[in-house]
Amino acid sequence: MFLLQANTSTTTALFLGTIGMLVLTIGLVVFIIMHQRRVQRFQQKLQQMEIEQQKMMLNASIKMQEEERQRLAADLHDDAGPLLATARLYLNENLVNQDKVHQLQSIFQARQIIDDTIQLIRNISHDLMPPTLKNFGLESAINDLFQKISGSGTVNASQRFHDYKDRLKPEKELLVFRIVQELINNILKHSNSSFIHLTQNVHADKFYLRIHHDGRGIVQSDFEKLNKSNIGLGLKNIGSRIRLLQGEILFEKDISQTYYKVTIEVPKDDPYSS
Amino acid sequence: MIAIYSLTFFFVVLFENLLTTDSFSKRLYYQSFTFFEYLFFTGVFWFAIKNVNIRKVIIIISIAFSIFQIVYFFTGKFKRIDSLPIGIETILILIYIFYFFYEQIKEPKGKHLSENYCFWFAIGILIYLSGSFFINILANVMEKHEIIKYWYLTYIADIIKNIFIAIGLFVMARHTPNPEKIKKSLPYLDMN
Repeated sequence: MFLLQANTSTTTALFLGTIGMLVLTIGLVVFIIMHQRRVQRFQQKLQQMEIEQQKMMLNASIKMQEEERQRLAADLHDDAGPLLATARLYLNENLVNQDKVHQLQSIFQARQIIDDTIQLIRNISHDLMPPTLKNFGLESAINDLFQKISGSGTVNASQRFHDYKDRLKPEKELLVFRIVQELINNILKHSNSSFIHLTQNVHADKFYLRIHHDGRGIVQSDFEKLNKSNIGLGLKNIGSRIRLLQGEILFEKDISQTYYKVTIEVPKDDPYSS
Repeated sequence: MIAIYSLTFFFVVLFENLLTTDSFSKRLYYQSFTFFEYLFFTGVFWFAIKNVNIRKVIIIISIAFSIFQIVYFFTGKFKRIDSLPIGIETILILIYIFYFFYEQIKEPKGKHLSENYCFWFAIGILIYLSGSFFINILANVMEKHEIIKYWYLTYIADIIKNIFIAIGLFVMARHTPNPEKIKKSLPYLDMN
């Protein structure tokens, strides 16, 4: 009788204990899942708000910058140019009373300087808002930029667009062009490379640009480090523009360890969006 | 690691009768089973837990537990199975799992817990250990026929554990990024 009772109590303990443990386990798991979901929802909301705010700020600052640049470009091109050209004409008339040799020398030098100034202003204007980009698109603008670099004779710059039938929106093109400009600028300044090659292609709903060069370069970890530090404003601007484009940028070294490459991935425009 | 565990223990359980011919081999078999099971489970959570200090504590506890097992092997009373080491193993692993969950709650990574393969391993191991805890503890005080009658509880726990481990492995394979695949998604960009 005693043995039977002991056996029953052991069996009860076994079942109650096992059920208790399992209930506790399941309860714990359910609690963790519920808690994580709640935290996740809250974090998502917070992140979304942060992203929206960042996007707004970035948009505003970049828009303002671009507007300012466009205004400057228009002012320089439309006002300063004709004014200087007129000054050249005045200079011609005021010199009438001087002796002929001096007149000729002064006129020649003045014209030379004014011509240079006009050219310089034109260059500044073009730098601020490349007319080729506005009128003919990214491919032509990059082609122009690369021709100028190659023209210097120190770096061989080439570019190839594989598939650019469907142009990006003008504002996107401008952002991509600014990124390319900054990257090329960095390569020319720091890499000491002998060639730069840019290539473009599309895949699925993504637009890709890749720049190869054979000089000193950086890899993704360097880019992220510089992005977090106080230096490297140009790289920070690249990061901001990439975020605004909702794209990706990857700095890496070629498998052959000969070239550095930068790959930019940008979502293509939705053909149905306005 | 979990795959090695699953394969090893599958064969160990399969050849249990061959490996437990006398009292000594039986003792060696059960204690080794407990020891290696502890080692594998601890290994899983040692890699999953991020806190370096806790990882150090786990190593110290594991060394202490190993010493205890050696001492128990030579001095402890053994009737049917090594209930005491199993009990300690269960409590220790449960603590590691609780800490793992605590870490997951404390520092959410943005993705859902179900995308973390360790979460599935943890659930599987948790159910297995808590489901078989009482029968392992009471195995030495229960009647033989009763143990035979209720031993199926450990099989159920084991099957559930294996199902969750399989889910974990599936999740691991699905969510581990494949660099080759990423590279292949790029179009032709000259000099690739």
